[in-house]
Amino acid sequence: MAQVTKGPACGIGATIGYGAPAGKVGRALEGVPEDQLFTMTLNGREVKARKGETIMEVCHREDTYVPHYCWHPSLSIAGNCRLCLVEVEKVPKPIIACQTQVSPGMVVKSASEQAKTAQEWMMEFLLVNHPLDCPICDRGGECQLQRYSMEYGTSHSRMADKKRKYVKPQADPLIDIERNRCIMCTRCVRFCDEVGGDHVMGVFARGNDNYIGTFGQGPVSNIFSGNVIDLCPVGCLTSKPFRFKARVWELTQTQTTCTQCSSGCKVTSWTRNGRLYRTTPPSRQRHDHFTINEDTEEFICNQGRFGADFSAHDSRRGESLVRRADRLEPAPFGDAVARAGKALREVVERHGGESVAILLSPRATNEEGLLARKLARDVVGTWSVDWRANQQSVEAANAVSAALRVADGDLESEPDVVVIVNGDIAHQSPVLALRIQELGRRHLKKIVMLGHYHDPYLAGHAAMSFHNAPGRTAEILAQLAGVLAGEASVADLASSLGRTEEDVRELVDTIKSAQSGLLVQSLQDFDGRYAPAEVPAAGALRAALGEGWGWLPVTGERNAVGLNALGCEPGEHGIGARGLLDAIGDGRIKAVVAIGADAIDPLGNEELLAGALSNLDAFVLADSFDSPYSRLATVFLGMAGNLETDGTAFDIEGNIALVKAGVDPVGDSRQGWRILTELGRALGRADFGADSIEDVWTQVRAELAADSDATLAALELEGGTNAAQFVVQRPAGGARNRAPEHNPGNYRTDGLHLRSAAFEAPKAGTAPSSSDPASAADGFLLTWGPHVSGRGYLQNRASIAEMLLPKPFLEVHPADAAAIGVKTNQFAVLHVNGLRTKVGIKVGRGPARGTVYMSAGVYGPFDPSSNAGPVEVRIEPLDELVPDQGEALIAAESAPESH
Amino acid sequence: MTAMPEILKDDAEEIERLIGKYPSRRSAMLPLLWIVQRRAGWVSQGAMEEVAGILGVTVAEVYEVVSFYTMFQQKPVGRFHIALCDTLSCAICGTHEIAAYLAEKHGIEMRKVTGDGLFSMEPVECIGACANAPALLLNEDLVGDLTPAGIDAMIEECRRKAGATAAAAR
Ligand code: SF4
Ligand code: SF4
Ligand code: SF4
Ligand code: FES
Repeated sequence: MAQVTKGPACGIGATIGYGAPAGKVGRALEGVPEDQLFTMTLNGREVKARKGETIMEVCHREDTYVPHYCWHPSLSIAGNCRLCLVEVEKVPKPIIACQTQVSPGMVVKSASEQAKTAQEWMMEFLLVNHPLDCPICDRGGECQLQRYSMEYGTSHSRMADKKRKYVKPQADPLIDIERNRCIMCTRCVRFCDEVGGDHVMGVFARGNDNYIGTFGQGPVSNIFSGNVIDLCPVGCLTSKPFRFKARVWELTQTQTTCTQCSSGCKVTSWTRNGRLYRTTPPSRQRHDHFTINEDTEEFICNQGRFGADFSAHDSRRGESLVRRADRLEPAPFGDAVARAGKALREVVERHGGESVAILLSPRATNEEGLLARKLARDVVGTWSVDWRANQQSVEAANAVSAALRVADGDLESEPDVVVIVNGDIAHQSPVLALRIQELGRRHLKKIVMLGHYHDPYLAGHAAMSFHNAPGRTAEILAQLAGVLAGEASVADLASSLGRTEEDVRELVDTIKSAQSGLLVQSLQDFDGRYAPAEVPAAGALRAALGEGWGWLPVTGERNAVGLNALGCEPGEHGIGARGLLDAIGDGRIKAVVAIGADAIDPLGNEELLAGALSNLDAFVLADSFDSPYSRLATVFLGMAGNLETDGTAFDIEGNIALVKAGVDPVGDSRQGWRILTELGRALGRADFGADSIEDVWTQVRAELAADSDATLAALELEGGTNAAQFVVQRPAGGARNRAPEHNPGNYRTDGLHLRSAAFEAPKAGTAPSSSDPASAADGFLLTWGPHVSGRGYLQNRASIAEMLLPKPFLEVHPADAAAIGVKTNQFAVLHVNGLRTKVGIKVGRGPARGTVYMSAGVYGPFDPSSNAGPVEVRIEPLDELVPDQGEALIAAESAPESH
Repeated sequence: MTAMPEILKDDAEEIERLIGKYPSRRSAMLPLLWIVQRRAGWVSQGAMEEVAGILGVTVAEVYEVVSFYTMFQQKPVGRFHIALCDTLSCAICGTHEIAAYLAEKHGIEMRKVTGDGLFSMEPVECIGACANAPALLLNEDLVGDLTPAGIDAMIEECRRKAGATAAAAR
């Protein structure tokens, strides 16, 4: 069982005093020019402050807690709860800290008699209509109101009249709304508007009748909506799946990272008796216990919050299975692994090591990746190891690898300009998109959008947008690089983009004048068709951008960066995931080892895969579930699930973080690194692998950050920050690309010290020619991208998977929509490759004209085995509307039940 | 669901003119809602969706505004809607007697629409006509210094207008 932090004692009455939130508010004053600084007095202490800061921000930096409800570091200032009243000398009445800017010589007293009385009175006002029925409230024990009423309030109420009561709406499937407890801070409303990206929540009616909700009791539809649960300082918004399941202080907290996409968000898993109860942003220490900080800026997406319990699915299998004759029989782990070793040895002896392929789930940890690569190269003797089943072709996979290998950008440095090329980033790596959005919204950095699909979530924050036809992005990027290098003319670029020279000159000037910048490129859209051409083009653009710039290629796979850096790829010589089915078909591959069935699941539909896998001499599957694949295995090794695994993984920006087990592995299952170690030993290498996860980490560290000596414990979240943080070194060559040798007796463990050389663009030669898709005559070109909730194999097993799954929609440019006569929420028939699919239409400015975009699962709307070439589609409008989820009458909820 | 322009389909020009008066489109929300109310008598869910679509905001934002102002009707009202001032000056000067008279003599009851769909009535807060108390708003027009005789004349006038339109329609 993993090391865990202590659950909170019941939060009531605990002393208040968070540290400053981990975000940017009240940020350190280092580097701020002197003329921006002045001194003022806070609670008798002389402190430095910066022009334009508010009293609240100064208090945060100085670790002085001022009670507040409506203020939140990530949101705009509302100033409506009036709880943050403080005394300021020479000001006759108390004033609110959250909205008042500091000035030189200001004397602020946040805990004086006047301030305290004001805060106490405000508490009484806020509680006028509040039921204070904590024992039956799901927020009890972690409630800001409950805490404050102990800390700042009085113990009795002078409210003689009846309290206001509201009808309870049934708005959202995930978020419970109990309006009687609402204190109208409007945090939830501002969050949806400003961060969630859609103003679906609102403050309705007026005065005493005020209430929050959604129009027509519709759902809170944005993918970050779950965060309003943490933001709500009271028990008005609570999590439906978690509601009344447990009191928070009964749960064990584990600080870990989400395993579902490449944002790699830090999260806390709240568990009891081997079961996951909820996932939240990291809980933080407050004096003697941990709780979620209502001021958290570490938002997570709904998939990470509500969809992480797939390891508890009914199909979960703890024990291992061995095939005897035609039947799979349960076997002890030791026997099963010995049997797997024997089966693989036979294949190697008969057909050579190269006839074995080892495939990894893209969410494999670095430790699993390293051992899998060593197993392949050093023990079995094969190049064929791969994690990239999700990429749609060999060429796309290679383009992704080439990009990841040389990527050198991140958001941490807060670049002045962010140039985004293509992509539905918000649906592929949601929190990454959220953070890009924050750069634009909160830090006023310029966002520029290029390419043929512009993420609608980010488009609202873009300073400039330039669409181009699908398939022409590479050319545009090359021209832009040319203009920056002084080799091409602005006029040519303008004509390619169909825009005025003035517009394009502004673009070029913005880029040129930036001190620092970041080129963000989505690699995963459009079934990977364009990546092979666009990656080298973006690389060349990155090179032309020069000093101060970075390149951040984006793919949604959890540990893409780590597995790429560790060389878990077949290179030019081996067979990758995307070539696997062919190679099985023509007999080059005789045995497959899959670590996680999602290592192979995206390769084709079940039938196709089953056909191929049954041709193998040996199929060893390490996985957590009963599935069509487990039933085909020669040996099935029960593997620990997502909450049962220790290790490390990289996020897409190249930061490493701990993945930490919160519960013990189910049944007889083992962690992936252990399975790989035992497999290596069963293959005759007594010295293979390691005896503890710490040992494997040491090997990983030696390859990725040889100059560090951080232990796993040092990677642990301590009070919210990673004590140690690595940025992956991206080398070319080295141990990871060493030729395979089947060499059981001569195993080397040379950990190389590897540093990334100066930036070098991936070679254009690696890109296969992409077909010219910009030729759809009267039809449209269909492009589509994966969705974090629609990746299939695992996500489908979450207990509330169907609520998280996006309803497929087809996004159509407004001009095209007008031309063919379709409107948002109208149904249409999509004709694809002779197939017909009924979809809802969404009119939006994401796709370029002539293109339609579909957000979908891994497969998209068509058979994955047949997606070569541009997909032309026809849209046939139907005279039918998508049923409205919020049909319930507003009238039913618009009036309070009684006063 | 996004409604096809229906209520506002004939007002495109006026709407563009109004929007042009403001630095941002959303600022034209109140004038647009007034047009809706004049056309339909009340602001339906579909109308709010229409307005949202025109202004490029979410329908929740429109509903925030509609529900804030009591002058926007969220349920169908009579063709002649009486907003009877219920605040102090009017109340002292006889609002309640006027309300009772309207109910007894003309069958117009508080918060109800008459069977013929012609009249409806609701109490409102101060309409700024204390000097002419008791006062009411008949749709958008102020009627002050109310007396039973004045009420009779007002109702008569309304019925006459309704009859005229009905005749014109025939
Ligand atoms: S919201 Fe907080 S204070 Fe109110 S009943 Fe719930 S736990 Fe108690
Ligand atoms: S529901 Fe919660 S977050 Fe929203 S306004 Fe009410 S108290 Fe604030
Ligand atoms: S953005 Fe990705 S890593 Fe973060 S919570 Fe969502 S699924 Fe998990
Ligand atoms: S926190 Fe300052 S008014 Fe609410």
